[in-house]
Amino acid sequence: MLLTSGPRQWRFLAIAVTAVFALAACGKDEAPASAAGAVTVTPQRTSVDAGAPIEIQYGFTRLASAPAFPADAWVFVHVVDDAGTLLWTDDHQPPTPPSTWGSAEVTYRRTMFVPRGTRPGHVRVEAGVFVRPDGVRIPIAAANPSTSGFDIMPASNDLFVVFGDGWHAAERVEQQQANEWRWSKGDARLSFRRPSRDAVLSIEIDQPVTQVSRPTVEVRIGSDLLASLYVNPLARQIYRIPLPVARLGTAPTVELNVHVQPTFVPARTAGLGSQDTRELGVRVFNVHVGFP
Amino acid sequence: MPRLLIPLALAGICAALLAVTVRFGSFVAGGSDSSCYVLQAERWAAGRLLTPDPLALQAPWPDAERAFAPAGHFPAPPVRGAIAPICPSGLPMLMAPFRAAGGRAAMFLFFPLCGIALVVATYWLGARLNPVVGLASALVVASNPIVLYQVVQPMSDVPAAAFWTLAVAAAVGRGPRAALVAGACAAVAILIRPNLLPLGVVVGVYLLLQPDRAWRERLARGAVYAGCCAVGCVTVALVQWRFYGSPLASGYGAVGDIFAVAHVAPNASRYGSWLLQTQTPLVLLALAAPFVLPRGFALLGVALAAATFGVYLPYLVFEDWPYVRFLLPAMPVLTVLTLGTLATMVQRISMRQMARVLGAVSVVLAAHGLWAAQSHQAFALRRLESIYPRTGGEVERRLPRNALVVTSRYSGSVRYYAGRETLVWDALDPASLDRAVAFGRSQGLEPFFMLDSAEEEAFRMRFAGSDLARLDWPPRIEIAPQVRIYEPAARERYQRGESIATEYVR
Repeated sequence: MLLTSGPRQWRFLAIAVTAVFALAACGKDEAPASAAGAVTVTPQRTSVDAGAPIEIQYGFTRLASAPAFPADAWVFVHVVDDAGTLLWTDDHQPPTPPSTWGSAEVTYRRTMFVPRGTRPGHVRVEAGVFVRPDGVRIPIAAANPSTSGFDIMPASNDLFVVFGDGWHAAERVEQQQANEWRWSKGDARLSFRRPSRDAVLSIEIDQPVTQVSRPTVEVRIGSDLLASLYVNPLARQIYRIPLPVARLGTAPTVELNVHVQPTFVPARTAGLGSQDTRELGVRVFNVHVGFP
Repeated sequence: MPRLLIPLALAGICAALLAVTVRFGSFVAGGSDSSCYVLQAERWAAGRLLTPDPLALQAPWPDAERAFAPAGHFPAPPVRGAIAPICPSGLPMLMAPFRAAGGRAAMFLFFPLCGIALVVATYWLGARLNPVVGLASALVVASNPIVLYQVVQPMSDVPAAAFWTLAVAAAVGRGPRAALVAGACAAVAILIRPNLLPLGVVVGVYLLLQPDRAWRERLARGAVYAGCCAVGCVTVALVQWRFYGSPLASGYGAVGDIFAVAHVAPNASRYGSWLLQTQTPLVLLALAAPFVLPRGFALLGVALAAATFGVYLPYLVFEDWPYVRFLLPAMPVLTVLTLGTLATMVQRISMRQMARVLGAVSVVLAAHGLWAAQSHQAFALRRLESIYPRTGGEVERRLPRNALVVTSRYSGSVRYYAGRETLVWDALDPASLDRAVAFGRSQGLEPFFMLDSAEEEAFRMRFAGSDLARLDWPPRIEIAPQVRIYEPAARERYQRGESIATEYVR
């Protein structure tokens, strides 16, 4: 016998083995909590170009046995690729507060832009409910994970929208490709190749400064007013403006004038404490011209 | 204080500064200044200083040579088609041996080394009064916000400050080679920033007026010092003669264009408030130094600071805080005078409390410095400037070797990182954009417009007569998302109805 072992050594071995198992157990996921409801995610198209908007229908049900959702609950939306990598998010406050949801399904539709730098391929939309202040998720079961996806096609530049005069430099939040924007000045121009048929301009706008009164955005071709948009403070919103071909003129390029009223200069706006001397109108995150 | 504690603490301060430069260093060819230094260092290392660019000589529009000069450069008056640096040549000359010996990464080692030299020189100067003053001053200088802002960039401010502080620390020494070392350091400092020559005069006058030395000794030391400085001055003159056609000319333009009496008042106000922000109002204690510290030492420091102010007061007026960097050569001296005065005053009350008070004050000042550096984005520069190597790398990878990149903001970085020919659009004749594109094609080059989104409006306005300036077709590449690269040849295809794909690089 090469090794002798007394009770003391066995005790050490037992402790070591127990410790290894305990450490291994720490690395495992916690057992999933039982779901308080279910969500269905239904993209309204099976494929969409990068840079274009897509409408998604969300349906939520809460189990009758589950407690009501908190008043400050929001919906999270994560778009992931086939490898599970998070590509972008569209977290939002649903039209009806989750605290009022019951066992009857609550459905609504919401449009989001596919960031124009997204690589082509299949993506899946994951949605659920979370408590906004601390980010804690409420367990919700995905009812249709296999059909909650859509395909992203390469960005079509057929009706490429040009930011002309009246725009400040592009800005972004690092590592968040869905958070890229350009501030407008009071008057700004967008242009694109004249479409051959009726088209739709989709434009995602916000104005995040509460110290400034609610801006109005007028979109015109020459003197022809196409739309007046009343921008909700703090809310990033997508507006869809019909572009009937009969109103687009005959020139090969359509020039849209975007007039924002009022504008503001952060350095001269009380309460902001900013040194930014730019004249700012609204932030435009995405703009797209396509066919309905 | 135990004998080893001070060297260990000094080494710790140097190590911390080194760690900051490694972690937050933004050693890139980016804007005008950094492109100038980095591209020139490459040229000095390669021994190709004034090489005519055939394109610049043949281009058919007015003042074509200017458009072929990248950021930080302009047409060299003595050699047609060649470019000369706007910045002084001393710093690139010092970087060049590093570049030649160890490649591009090694070239940037010079800056952390200068940061360490600045800290050690400050200690050395302060230790002439008391080692504790030296150590406290070294800590305060190492955490000075403008030092932290500049030491992470390939700029001349920290190197110039390091060599001037070394020169002063040597000049106040008593060793036999003090004048020689002071002169050698001053010569390098003059080479780096020729306009700070008056600081050299201040040090020279100090050496001549030291009352505790015999006249013969003063003259000998002064002569040695002046001889060394003369080498620096002659080198500067020769380089300027070669680059600018006159030993007295500089890359910054005529003296009358950049210096004016009208600048004195606004600059006094700006530099005064910036200095108080960076150094805290405690720096005013330095004004009491001549009444508290050894008179010659204190007057040398005050005169040096006054000379630094004096050089920049009539200079161009800038609005941004980082321009307090011009005063950096005076800051180590002012710090030593401040803390030396404080130490002497405390010492008069309680000898034993001096080290504690100085330690506490320097730690508070260091904390303030770090906070100010953070709030002035010193530690964000790496991220903010990363757009230059990133876009340069994308050009290298995605554009053909024969690309002619029409750009302004990225002209230095495209040259450095991608090695492509550049044409600076805001130096291009406003009527000649189409002609420049046609000329590029005729020379076998493929023109591209590379524009920051902040530049597009100015680009359209400058070339209002050109259809290409409308930028009304999809870019070939969009980077990050503010930089777009347009292929002029694609416009016609897009107008015909073809689909033009854009590569999005995020």
